[in-house]
Amino acid sequence: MIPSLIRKSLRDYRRAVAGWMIGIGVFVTIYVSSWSQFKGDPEAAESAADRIPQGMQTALAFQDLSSGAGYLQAVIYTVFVPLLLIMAATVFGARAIAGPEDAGVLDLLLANPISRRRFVLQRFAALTVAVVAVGAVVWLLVLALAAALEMNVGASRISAASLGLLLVGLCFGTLALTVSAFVGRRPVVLATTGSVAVATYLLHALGNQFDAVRPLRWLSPFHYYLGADPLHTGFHVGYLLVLAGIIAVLVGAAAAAFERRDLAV
Amino acid sequence: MNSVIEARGLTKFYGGRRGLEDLDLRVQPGEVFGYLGPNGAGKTTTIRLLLDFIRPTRGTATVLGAVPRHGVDTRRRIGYLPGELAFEGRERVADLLRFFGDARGGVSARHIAEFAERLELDLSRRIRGLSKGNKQKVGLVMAFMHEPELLILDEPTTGLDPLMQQEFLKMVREARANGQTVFMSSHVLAEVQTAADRVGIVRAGRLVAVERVESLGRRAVRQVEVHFAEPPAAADFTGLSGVTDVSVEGPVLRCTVDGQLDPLIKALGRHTVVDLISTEPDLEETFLSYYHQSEETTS
Repeated sequence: MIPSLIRKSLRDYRRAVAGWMIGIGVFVTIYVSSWSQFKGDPEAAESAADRIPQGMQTALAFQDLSSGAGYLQAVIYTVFVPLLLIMAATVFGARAIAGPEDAGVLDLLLANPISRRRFVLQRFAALTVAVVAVGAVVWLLVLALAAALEMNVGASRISAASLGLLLVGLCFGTLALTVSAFVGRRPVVLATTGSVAVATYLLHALGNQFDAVRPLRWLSPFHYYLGADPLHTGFHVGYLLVLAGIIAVLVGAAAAAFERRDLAV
Repeated sequence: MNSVIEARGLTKFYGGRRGLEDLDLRVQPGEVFGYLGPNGAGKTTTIRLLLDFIRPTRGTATVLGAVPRHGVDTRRRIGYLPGELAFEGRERVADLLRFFGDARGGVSARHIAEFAERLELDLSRRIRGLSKGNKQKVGLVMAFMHEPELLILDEPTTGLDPLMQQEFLKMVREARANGQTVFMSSHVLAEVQTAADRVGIVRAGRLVAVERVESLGRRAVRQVEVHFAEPPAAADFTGLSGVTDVSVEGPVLRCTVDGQLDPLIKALGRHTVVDLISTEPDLEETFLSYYHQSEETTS
Protein backbone atom coordinates (compact mmCIF):
# COMPACT_ATOMS: atom_id res chain seq x y z
CA MET A 1 0.00 0.00 0.00
CA ILE A 2 1.24 3.47 -0.84
CA PRO A 3 1.63 5.62 2.29
CA SER A 4 -1.14 8.19 2.50
CA LEU A 5 1.22 11.17 2.36
CA ILE A 6 2.65 10.06 -0.98
CA ARG A 7 -0.86 9.65 -2.34
CA LYS A 8 -1.89 13.04 -1.07
CA SER A 9 1.25 14.68 -2.46
CA LEU A 10 0.62 13.18 -5.88
CA ARG A 11 -2.98 14.29 -5.76
CA ASP A 12 -1.76 17.80 -4.99
CA TYR A 13 0.87 17.69 -7.74
CA ARG A 14 -1.44 16.11 -10.31
CA ARG A 15 -2.35 19.22 -12.28
CA ALA A 16 1.16 20.63 -12.29
CA VAL A 17 2.58 17.29 -13.42
CA ALA A 18 0.05 17.11 -16.25
CA GLY A 19 0.92 20.68 -17.26
CA TRP A 20 4.65 19.98 -17.41
CA MET A 21 4.06 16.73 -19.30
CA ILE A 22 2.06 18.53 -21.94
CA GLY A 23 4.46 21.45 -22.17
CA ILE A 24 7.57 19.36 -22.50
CA GLY A 25 5.74 16.95 -24.83
CA VAL A 26 4.77 19.75 -27.19
CA PHE A 27 8.30 21.15 -27.15
CA VAL A 28 9.89 17.77 -27.88
CA THR A 29 7.40 16.96 -30.64
CA ILE A 30 7.86 20.26 -32.45
CA TYR A 31 11.63 20.29 -32.23
CA VAL A 32 12.28 16.65 -33.02
CA SER A 33 9.88 16.85 -35.99
CA SER A 34 11.86 19.79 -37.39
CA TRP A 35 14.71 17.44 -38.02
CA SER A 36 13.29 16.57 -41.43
CA GLN A 37 14.66 19.97 -42.62
CA PHE A 38 18.20 18.86 -41.92
CA LYS A 39 17.90 15.19 -42.66
CA GLY A 40 20.52 14.24 -45.23
CA ASP A 41 21.26 17.91 -45.89
CA PRO A 42 24.54 18.79 -44.18
CA GLU A 43 24.59 22.23 -45.79
CA ALA A 44 21.31 23.31 -44.28
CA ALA A 45 22.48 21.90 -40.98
CA GLU A 46 25.74 23.78 -41.18
CA SER A 47 24.18 27.07 -42.08
CA ALA A 48 21.77 26.69 -39.15
CA ALA A 49 24.65 25.92 -36.84
CA ASP A 50 26.65 28.85 -38.19
CA ARG A 51 24.07 31.25 -36.90
CA ILE A 52 25.48 30.74 -33.44
CA PRO A 53 29.06 31.68 -32.58
CA GLN A 54 31.74 29.03 -32.78
CA GLY A 55 32.40 28.93 -29.06
CA MET A 56 28.74 28.47 -28.31
CA GLN A 57 28.57 25.66 -30.84
CA THR A 58 31.09 23.67 -28.89
CA ALA A 59 29.63 24.54 -25.55
CA LEU A 60 26.09 23.70 -26.60
CA ALA A 61 27.02 20.73 -28.78
CA PHE A 62 25.62 22.30 -31.96
CA GLN A 63 28.07 20.58 -34.21
CA ASP A 64 26.40 17.94 -36.22
CA LEU A 65 22.78 18.72 -36.92
CA SER A 66 22.55 16.52 -39.98
CA SER A 67 22.90 13.27 -38.07
CA GLY A 68 20.02 12.09 -35.92
CA ALA A 69 22.16 11.68 -32.82
CA GLY A 70 23.82 15.06 -33.31
CA TYR A 71 20.51 16.77 -33.80
CA LEU A 72 18.88 15.20 -30.76
CA GLN A 73 21.90 16.04 -28.67
CA ALA A 74 21.98 19.68 -29.76
CA VAL A 75 18.29 20.45 -29.87
CA ILE A 76 16.77 18.22 -27.20
CA TYR A 77 19.25 16.86 -24.69
CA THR A 78 21.78 19.63 -24.17
CA VAL A 79 19.92 22.84 -23.41
CA PHE A 80 16.20 23.27 -23.55
CA VAL A 81 14.78 20.01 -22.34
CA PRO A 82 17.18 19.72 -19.39
CA LEU A 83 16.33 23.32 -18.58
CA LEU A 84 12.59 22.57 -18.60
CA LEU A 85 12.93 19.34 -16.67
CA ILE A 86 15.16 20.94 -14.06
CA MET A 87 12.69 23.79 -13.68
CA ALA A 88 9.85 21.33 -13.20
CA ALA A 89 11.84 19.24 -10.72
CA THR A 90 12.92 22.32 -8.77
CA VAL A 91 9.35 23.52 -8.47
CA PHE A 92 8.24 20.10 -7.17
CA GLY A 93 11.25 19.92 -4.87
CA ALA A 94 10.37 23.30 -3.40
CA ARG A 95 6.80 22.13 -2.88
CA ALA A 96 7.99 19.21 -0.77
CA ILE A 97 8.68 21.22 2.37
CA ALA A 98 8.99 24.94 1.66
CA GLY A 99 5.63 25.07 -0.16
CA PRO A 100 3.47 23.89 2.75
CA GLU A 101 5.70 25.71 5.21
CA ASP A 102 5.19 29.04 3.43
CA ALA A 103 1.49 28.31 3.15
CA GLY A 104 1.31 27.56 6.89
CA VAL A 105 0.08 23.99 6.47
CA LEU A 106 3.23 22.12 7.44
CA ASP A 107 2.25 22.04 11.13
CA LEU A 108 -0.96 20.28 10.24
CA LEU A 109 0.83 17.67 8.13
CA LEU A 110 3.40 16.98 10.82
CA ALA A 111 0.81 16.75 13.59
CA ASN A 112 0.12 13.35 12.05
CA PRO A 113 2.00 10.35 13.36
CA ILE A 114 4.79 10.69 10.83
CA SER A 115 8.43 11.33 11.75
CA ARG A 116 10.32 14.13 10.11
CA ARG A 117 12.55 11.59 8.37
CA ARG A 118 9.61 9.68 6.98
CA PHE A 119 8.05 12.93 5.87
CA VAL A 120 11.17 13.81 3.88
CA LEU A 121 11.38 10.33 2.36
CA GLN A 122 7.73 10.26 1.33
CA ARG A 123 7.92 13.75 -0.15
CA PHE A 124 11.04 12.63 -2.02
CA ALA A 125 9.13 9.60 -3.31
CA ALA A 126 6.33 11.84 -4.59
CA LEU A 127 8.90 14.17 -6.18
CA THR A 128 10.51 11.20 -7.90
CA VAL A 129 7.19 10.02 -9.31
CA ALA A 130 6.46 13.52 -10.61
CA VAL A 131 9.87 13.92 -12.27
CA VAL A 132 9.74 10.40 -13.73
CA ALA A 133 6.34 11.14 -15.23
CA VAL A 134 7.64 14.28 -16.94
CA GLY A 135 10.95 12.64 -17.94
CA ALA A 136 9.17 9.60 -19.37
CA VAL A 137 7.34 11.87 -21.82
CA VAL A 138 10.69 12.94 -23.28
CA TRP A 139 11.94 9.36 -23.46
CA LEU A 140 8.84 7.89 -25.08
CA LEU A 141 8.28 10.75 -27.53
CA VAL A 142 11.89 10.80 -28.69
CA LEU A 143 11.83 7.01 -29.09
CA ALA A 144 8.65 7.18 -31.15
CA LEU A 145 9.65 10.21 -33.24
CA ALA A 146 13.19 8.96 -33.87
CA ALA A 147 11.76 5.71 -35.18
CA ALA A 148 9.11 7.46 -37.28
CA LEU A 149 11.55 9.96 -38.79
CA GLU A 150 14.24 7.32 -39.26
CA MET A 151 16.79 9.28 -37.31
CA ASN A 152 19.00 6.26 -37.08
CA VAL A 153 19.63 6.50 -33.33
CA GLY A 154 19.34 3.25 -31.37
CA ALA A 155 16.66 2.90 -28.73
CA SER A 156 19.25 2.05 -26.10
CA ARG A 157 21.15 5.29 -26.79
CA ILE A 158 18.00 7.35 -26.55
CA SER A 159 17.17 5.48 -23.35
CA ALA A 160 20.65 6.13 -21.97
CA ALA A 161 20.41 9.86 -22.68
CA SER A 162 16.84 10.00 -21.34
CA LEU A 163 17.77 8.21 -18.12
CA GLY A 164 20.69 10.59 -17.62
CA LEU A 165 18.35 13.51 -18.25
CA LEU A 166 15.88 12.14 -15.72
CA LEU A 167 18.59 11.71 -13.10
CA VAL A 168 19.96 15.20 -13.65
CA GLY A 169 16.45 16.58 -13.28
CA LEU A 170 15.88 14.59 -10.13
CA CYS A 171 19.27 15.73 -8.83
CA PHE A 172 18.18 19.35 -8.88
CA GLY A 173 14.70 18.53 -7.66
CA THR A 174 16.26 16.79 -4.71
CA LEU A 175 18.62 19.72 -4.20
CA ALA A 176 15.55 21.95 -3.92
CA LEU A 177 14.03 19.56 -1.39
CA THR A 178 17.28 19.52 0.57
CA VAL A 179 17.60 23.29 0.63
CA SER A 180 14.03 23.51 1.84
CA ALA A 181 14.85 21.00 4.57
CA PHE A 182 17.36 23.57 5.85
CA VAL A 183 15.45 26.76 5.07
CA GLY A 184 11.74 26.43 4.48
CA ARG A 185 11.30 29.49 2.31
CA ARG A 186 10.37 29.06 -1.33
CA PRO A 187 12.23 32.07 -2.75
CA VAL A 188 15.43 30.94 -1.02
CA VAL A 189 14.97 27.41 -2.31
CA LEU A 190 14.33 28.46 -5.91
CA ALA A 191 17.16 30.99 -5.97
CA THR A 192 19.69 28.60 -4.46
CA THR A 193 18.77 25.68 -6.69
CA GLY A 194 18.66 27.86 -9.79
CA SER A 195 22.09 29.34 -9.04
CA VAL A 196 23.65 25.93 -8.48
CA ALA A 197 22.09 24.62 -11.71
CA VAL A 198 23.42 27.54 -13.75
CA ALA A 199 26.87 27.41 -12.14
CA THR A 200 27.31 23.67 -12.62
CA TYR A 201 25.99 23.87 -16.17
CA LEU A 202 28.56 26.53 -17.00
CA LEU A 203 31.23 24.43 -15.38
CA HIS A 204 30.29 21.57 -17.68
CA ALA A 205 30.00 23.71 -20.83
CA LEU A 206 33.21 25.64 -20.24
CA GLY A 207 35.01 22.51 -19.15
CA ASN A 208 34.43 21.13 -22.64
CA GLN A 209 36.01 24.19 -24.14
CA PHE A 210 38.77 25.48 -21.94
CA ASP A 211 41.55 23.32 -20.61
CA ALA A 212 41.85 25.49 -17.53
CA VAL A 213 38.31 24.60 -16.45
CA ARG A 214 38.52 21.04 -17.65
CA PRO A 215 39.45 19.32 -14.37
CA LEU A 216 36.59 21.07 -12.59
CA ARG A 217 33.88 19.61 -14.78
CA TRP A 218 33.97 16.52 -12.53
CA LEU A 219 32.16 18.66 -10.00
CA SER A 220 29.19 19.21 -12.30
CA PRO A 221 26.24 16.79 -12.38
CA PHE A 222 25.89 17.63 -16.06
CA HIS A 223 29.21 15.96 -16.72
CA TYR A 224 27.76 12.62 -15.59
CA TYR A 225 24.81 13.14 -17.87
CA LEU A 226 26.40 14.42 -21.10
CA GLY A 227 30.12 13.97 -20.51
CA ALA A 228 30.20 10.46 -21.94
CA ASP A 229 28.10 11.41 -24.96
CA PRO A 230 25.29 8.88 -24.40
CA LEU A 231 23.59 9.53 -27.76
CA HIS A 232 26.66 8.23 -29.53
CA THR A 233 27.99 5.77 -27.00
CA GLY A 234 24.98 4.51 -25.01
CA PHE A 235 24.84 3.62 -21.32
CA HIS A 236 27.63 4.51 -18.92
CA VAL A 237 26.51 2.86 -15.73
CA GLY A 238 29.27 4.42 -13.64
CA TYR A 239 28.20 7.95 -14.56
CA LEU A 240 24.54 7.21 -13.92
CA LEU A 241 25.47 5.75 -10.55
CA VAL A 242 27.29 8.96 -9.67
CA LEU A 243 24.06 10.88 -10.33
CA ALA A 244 22.09 8.40 -8.25
CA GLY A 245 24.70 8.76 -5.51
CA ILE A 246 24.39 12.55 -5.50
CA ILE A 247 20.63 12.17 -5.12
CA ALA A 248 21.04 9.70 -2.25
CA VAL A 249 23.46 12.00 -0.40
CA LEU A 250 21.10 14.95 -0.84
CA VAL A 251 18.13 12.97 0.50
CA GLY A 252 20.20 11.88 3.50
CA ALA A 253 21.23 15.45 4.19
CA ALA A 254 17.63 16.62 3.84
CA ALA A 255 16.36 14.05 6.35
CA ALA A 256 19.11 14.92 8.84
CA ALA A 257 18.59 18.66 8.51
CA PHE A 258 14.81 18.55 8.68
CA GLU A 259 14.98 16.32 11.75
CA ARG A 260 16.87 19.02 13.62
CA ARG A 261 15.25 22.29 12.81
CA ASP A 262 12.26 24.27 14.04
CA LEU A 263 9.36 24.67 11.67
CA ALA A 264 8.52 28.23 10.71
CA VAL A 265 5.06 29.49 11.56
CA MET B 1 -2.17 9.04 37.81
CA ASN B 2 0.27 10.28 35.21
CA SER B 3 -0.22 13.71 33.75
CA VAL B 4 -1.29 13.91 30.14
CA ILE B 5 0.85 16.98 29.63
CA GLU B 6 3.76 17.78 31.84
CA ALA B 7 6.21 20.63 31.34
CA ARG B 8 9.21 21.37 33.51
CA GLY B 9 11.14 24.55 33.01
CA LEU B 10 10.03 24.51 29.38
CA THR B 11 11.69 27.45 27.65
CA LYS B 12 11.88 28.69 24.08
CA PHE B 13 13.84 31.67 22.85
CA TYR B 14 13.69 32.75 19.22
CA GLY B 15 17.15 34.22 18.86
CA GLY B 16 17.13 36.70 21.72
CA ARG B 17 13.37 37.05 21.85
CA ARG B 18 11.54 35.23 24.59
CA GLY B 19 8.76 32.97 23.37
CA LEU B 20 8.20 31.07 26.59
CA GLU B 21 10.20 30.87 29.78
CA ASP B 22 10.26 28.30 32.56
CA LEU B 23 6.84 26.82 32.03
CA ASP B 24 5.90 24.34 34.75
CA LEU B 25 2.56 22.75 34.06
CA ARG B 26 0.66 19.54 34.59
CA VAL B 27 -2.57 18.72 32.82
CA GLN B 28 -4.41 15.76 34.33
CA PRO B 29 -6.29 13.07 32.41
CA GLY B 30 -9.87 13.98 31.65
CA GLU B 31 -9.62 17.65 32.46
CA VAL B 32 -10.29 20.61 30.21
CA PHE B 33 -7.46 23.05 30.61
CA GLY B 34 -7.88 26.57 29.30
CA TYR B 35 -4.69 28.33 28.34
CA LEU B 36 -5.45 31.98 28.42
CA GLY B 37 -3.45 34.98 27.38
CA PRO B 38 -3.28 37.93 25.02
CA ASN B 39 -1.88 37.46 21.52
CA GLY B 40 1.87 36.97 21.54
CA ALA B 41 1.95 35.78 25.14
CA GLY B 42 3.41 32.38 24.28
CA LYS B 43 0.33 30.20 23.89
CA THR B 44 1.11 29.04 20.37
CA THR B 45 4.77 28.61 21.28
CA THR B 46 3.75 26.25 24.07
CA ILE B 47 1.50 24.24 21.78
CA ARG B 48 4.13 24.02 19.05
CA LEU B 49 6.65 22.77 21.60
CA LEU B 50 4.21 20.10 22.77
CA LEU B 51 3.79 18.87 19.19
CA ASP B 52 7.51 18.96 18.33
CA PHE B 53 7.18 21.62 15.64
CA ILE B 54 9.83 23.56 17.52
CA ARG B 55 12.44 22.37 20.00
CA PRO B 56 12.85 23.80 23.48
CA THR B 57 15.83 26.01 24.30
CA ARG B 58 15.86 24.24 27.65
CA GLY B 59 13.51 22.35 29.91
CA THR B 60 11.47 19.27 29.14
CA ALA B 61 7.95 18.30 28.28
CA THR B 62 6.11 15.03 28.05
CA VAL B 63 2.84 14.52 26.23
CA LEU B 64 0.94 11.27 26.82
CA GLY B 65 4.08 9.97 28.49
CA ALA B 66 6.46 10.67 25.60
CA VAL B 67 8.93 13.45 24.93
CA PRO B 68 7.50 15.24 21.84
CA ARG B 69 10.67 14.64 19.84
CA HIS B 70 10.25 10.89 20.21
CA GLY B 71 6.49 10.94 20.31
CA VAL B 72 5.66 10.18 16.69
CA ASP B 73 3.32 7.36 17.65
CA THR B 74 1.61 9.30 20.41
CA ARG B 75 0.52 11.86 17.83
CA ARG B 76 -1.99 9.30 16.63
CA ARG B 77 -3.70 9.86 19.99
CA ILE B 78 -3.67 13.64 19.72
CA GLY B 79 -6.11 15.85 17.89
CA TYR B 80 -4.62 19.19 16.94
CA LEU B 81 -6.19 22.38 15.71
CA PRO B 82 -3.68 25.06 14.71
CA GLY B 83 -4.24 28.69 15.61
CA GLU B 84 -3.66 29.94 12.10
CA LEU B 85 -5.46 27.36 10.08
CA ALA B 86 -4.51 27.26 6.42
CA PHE B 87 -5.01 24.71 3.69
CA GLU B 88 -3.43 24.42 0.29
CA GLY B 89 -4.66 22.61 -2.73
CA ARG B 90 -7.90 22.20 -4.56
CA GLU B 91 -9.08 18.92 -3.12
CA ARG B 92 -12.51 18.34 -1.66
CA VAL B 93 -13.06 18.52 2.07
CA ALA B 94 -13.94 14.82 2.16
CA ASP B 95 -10.64 13.85 0.47
CA LEU B 96 -8.60 15.99 2.82
CA LEU B 97 -10.34 14.54 5.88
CA ARG B 98 -9.88 11.02 4.56
CA PHE B 99 -6.15 11.68 4.18
CA PHE B 100 -5.88 12.88 7.78
CA GLY B 101 -7.98 9.95 8.95
CA ASP B 102 -5.79 7.45 7.10
CA ALA B 103 -2.63 9.07 8.43
CA ARG B 104 -3.88 8.33 11.94
CA GLY B 105 -4.77 4.75 11.24
CA GLY B 106 -8.19 5.13 9.64
CA VAL B 107 -11.38 6.95 10.55
CA SER B 108 -14.67 5.74 9.17
CA ALA B 109 -16.43 7.93 6.63
CA ARG B 110 -19.59 7.72 8.72
CA HIS B 111 -17.75 9.16 11.68
CA ILE B 112 -16.44 12.05 9.62
CA ALA B 113 -19.91 12.67 8.23
CA GLU B 114 -21.36 12.82 11.75
CA PHE B 115 -19.00 15.55 12.88
CA ALA B 116 -19.42 17.43 9.61
CA GLU B 117 -23.19 17.35 10.07
CA ARG B 118 -22.97 18.67 13.62
CA LEU B 119 -20.93 21.62 12.42
CA GLU B 120 -22.98 22.03 9.24
CA LEU B 121 -19.95 21.48 7.05
CA ASP B 122 -20.44 20.47 3.42
CA LEU B 123 -17.95 17.69 2.66
CA SER B 124 -18.30 17.96 -1.10
CA ARG B 125 -17.00 21.54 -1.24
CA ARG B 126 -13.48 22.31 -2.36
CA ILE B 127 -11.13 23.53 0.36
CA ARG B 128 -9.93 26.51 -1.62
CA GLY B 129 -13.34 28.18 -1.81
CA LEU B 130 -14.23 27.86 1.86
CA SER B 131 -14.81 30.83 4.14
CA LYS B 132 -12.69 31.30 7.24
CA GLY B 133 -15.45 29.90 9.44
CA ASN B 134 -15.88 26.83 7.25
CA LYS B 135 -12.15 26.19 7.23
CA GLN B 136 -12.23 26.35 11.01
CA LYS B 137 -14.94 23.68 10.96
CA VAL B 138 -12.73 21.47 8.78
CA GLY B 139 -9.98 21.96 11.35
CA LEU B 140 -12.31 21.01 14.19
CA VAL B 141 -13.53 17.86 12.45
CA MET B 142 -9.89 17.00 11.81
CA ALA B 143 -9.05 17.38 15.50
CA PHE B 144 -12.06 15.51 16.87
CA MET B 145 -12.79 12.82 14.29
CA HIS B 146 -10.45 10.11 15.56
CA GLU B 147 -11.60 10.61 19.17
CA PRO B 148 -8.09 11.27 20.43
CA GLU B 149 -7.09 10.94 24.08
CA LEU B 150 -5.78 14.48 24.00
CA LEU B 151 -7.13 17.46 22.10
CA ILE B 152 -4.77 20.39 21.65
CA LEU B 153 -6.76 23.30 20.29
CA ASP B 154 -5.22 26.68 19.53
CA GLU B 155 -7.88 29.42 19.56
CA PRO B 156 -10.57 26.94 18.52
CA THR B 157 -13.49 29.32 18.13
CA THR B 158 -11.79 31.77 15.77
CA GLY B 159 -14.11 32.56 12.90
CA LEU B 160 -17.06 30.53 14.20
CA ASP B 161 -20.43 32.20 14.54
CA PRO B 162 -22.03 32.14 18.03
CA LEU B 163 -24.22 29.15 17.24
CA MET B 164 -21.23 27.10 16.13
CA GLN B 165 -19.27 28.28 19.15
CA GLN B 166 -22.01 26.75 21.29
CA GLU B 167 -21.82 23.54 19.30
CA PHE B 168 -18.06 23.52 19.74
CA LEU B 169 -18.36 23.97 23.51
CA LYS B 170 -20.80 21.07 23.53
CA MET B 171 -18.25 18.95 21.68
CA VAL B 172 -15.67 19.84 24.33
CA ARG B 173 -18.04 18.86 27.13
CA GLU B 174 -18.78 15.56 25.40
CA ALA B 175 -15.08 14.93 24.96
CA ARG B 176 -14.56 15.43 28.67
CA ALA B 177 -17.48 13.15 29.50
CA ASN B 178 -15.81 10.67 27.17
CA GLY B 179 -12.63 10.79 29.26
CA GLN B 180 -10.67 12.81 26.71
CA THR B 181 -8.32 15.55 27.87
CA VAL B 182 -8.56 18.99 26.31
CA PHE B 183 -5.88 21.67 26.24
CA MET B 184 -7.27 24.77 24.59
CA SER B 185 -5.82 28.22 24.22
CA SER B 186 -7.85 31.35 23.99
CA HIS B 187 -7.74 35.06 24.51
CA VAL B 188 -11.42 35.15 25.41
CA LEU B 189 -12.05 34.59 29.08
CA ALA B 190 -15.76 33.85 28.73
CA GLU B 191 -15.13 31.00 26.30
CA VAL B 192 -12.61 29.34 28.55
CA GLN B 193 -14.75 29.92 31.61
CA THR B 194 -17.68 27.95 30.27
CA ALA B 195 -15.61 25.06 28.98
CA ALA B 196 -12.61 24.61 31.24
CA ASP B 197 -11.97 23.05 34.62
CA ARG B 198 -8.76 24.93 35.18
CA VAL B 199 -7.24 27.96 33.55
CA GLY B 200 -3.62 28.88 33.14
CA ILE B 201 -2.87 32.50 32.45
CA VAL B 202 0.17 33.23 30.36
CA ARG B 203 1.60 36.65 29.84
CA ALA B 204 4.77 37.80 28.11
CA GLY B 205 6.07 34.25 27.89
CA ARG B 206 5.43 33.30 31.49
CA LEU B 207 2.69 31.34 33.17
CA VAL B 208 1.52 33.77 35.83
CA ALA B 209 -1.32 31.83 37.40
CA VAL B 210 -3.14 28.52 37.30
CA GLU B 211 -6.58 28.62 38.85
CA ARG B 212 -9.68 26.54 39.01
CA VAL B 213 -12.31 28.28 36.91
CA GLU B 214 -14.62 28.97 39.84
CA SER B 215 -12.00 30.99 41.67
CA LEU B 216 -11.14 32.89 38.51
CA GLY B 217 -14.73 33.99 38.18
CA ARG B 218 -14.70 35.27 41.74
CA ARG B 219 -11.62 37.29 41.05
CA ALA B 220 -12.91 38.79 37.84
CA VAL B 221 -12.31 42.49 37.59
CA ARG B 222 -15.29 44.60 36.51
CA GLN B 223 -15.76 48.23 35.68
CA VAL B 224 -18.92 49.44 37.38
CA GLU B 225 -20.79 52.64 36.65
CA VAL B 226 -23.74 53.66 38.82
CA HIS B 227 -26.15 56.52 38.12
CA PHE B 228 -27.94 57.93 41.18
CA ALA B 229 -30.96 60.16 41.62
CA GLU B 230 -28.91 62.45 43.91
CA PRO B 231 -25.14 63.02 43.81
CA PRO B 232 -23.66 60.74 46.49
CA ALA B 233 -20.60 61.30 48.64
CA ALA B 234 -17.52 59.51 47.36
CA ALA B 235 -16.62 58.66 50.94
CA ASP B 236 -19.56 56.25 51.05
CA PHE B 237 -17.72 53.96 48.61
CA THR B 238 -14.04 54.40 49.32
CA GLY B 239 -12.63 51.77 51.57
CA LEU B 240 -15.11 49.07 50.54
CA SER B 241 -13.44 45.71 50.15
CA GLY B 242 -12.40 45.07 46.53
CA VAL B 243 -13.54 48.47 45.30
CA THR B 244 -10.89 50.77 43.87
CA ASP B 245 -10.50 53.74 41.49
CA VAL B 246 -13.58 55.38 42.95
CA SER B 247 -14.59 58.60 41.23
CA VAL B 248 -17.80 60.55 41.62
CA GLU B 249 -18.87 63.11 39.04
CA GLY B 250 -22.25 64.59 39.84
CA PRO B 251 -24.72 61.75 40.13
CA VAL B 252 -22.38 59.20 38.49
CA LEU B 253 -20.07 56.84 40.36
CA ARG B 254 -17.35 54.95 38.53
CA CYS B 255 -15.20 52.33 40.15
CA THR B 256 -13.32 49.09 39.61
CA VAL B 257 -14.49 46.02 41.46
CA ASP B 258 -12.05 43.20 41.97
CA GLY B 259 -13.75 39.98 43.01
CA GLN B 260 -17.14 39.97 44.69
CA LEU B 261 -19.72 42.64 44.02
CA ASP B 262 -21.56 42.20 47.29
CA PRO B 263 -19.89 44.96 49.40
CA LEU B 264 -20.63 47.53 46.71
CA ILE B 265 -24.24 46.40 46.25
CA LYS B 266 -24.81 46.65 50.02
CA ALA B 267 -23.39 50.18 50.00
CA LEU B 268 -25.60 51.15 47.05
CA GLY B 269 -28.69 50.12 49.00
CA ARG B 270 -28.62 53.38 50.97
CA HIS B 271 -29.11 55.43 47.79
CA THR B 272 -31.65 55.66 45.00
CA VAL B 273 -30.07 53.95 42.00
CA VAL B 274 -31.24 54.99 38.52
CA ASP B 275 -28.96 52.84 36.44
CA LEU B 276 -26.18 50.32 36.96
CA ILE B 277 -23.75 49.32 34.24
CA SER B 278 -21.27 46.55 34.86
CA THR B 279 -18.96 45.70 32.01
CA GLU B 280 -17.97 42.08 31.37
CA PRO B 281 -15.03 41.01 33.42
CA ASP B 282 -12.14 42.37 31.42
CA LEU B 283 -9.51 39.85 30.51
CA GLU B 284 -6.67 42.31 30.44
CA GLU B 285 -7.64 43.67 33.85
CA THR B 286 -7.94 40.19 35.26
CA PHE B 287 -4.51 39.43 33.87
CA LEU B 288 -3.13 42.57 35.37
CA SER B 289 -4.51 41.75 38.76
CA TYR B 290 -2.84 38.34 38.59
CA TYR B 291 0.25 39.88 37.17
CA HIS B 292 0.58 42.42 39.95
CA GLN B 293 -0.19 39.76 42.47
CA SER B 294 2.56 37.52 41.15
CA GLU B 295 4.97 40.47 41.00
CA GLU B 296 4.21 41.22 44.62
CA THR B 297 4.73 37.66 45.74
CA THR B 298 8.03 37.36 43.89
CA SER B 299 9.45 40.68 45.05
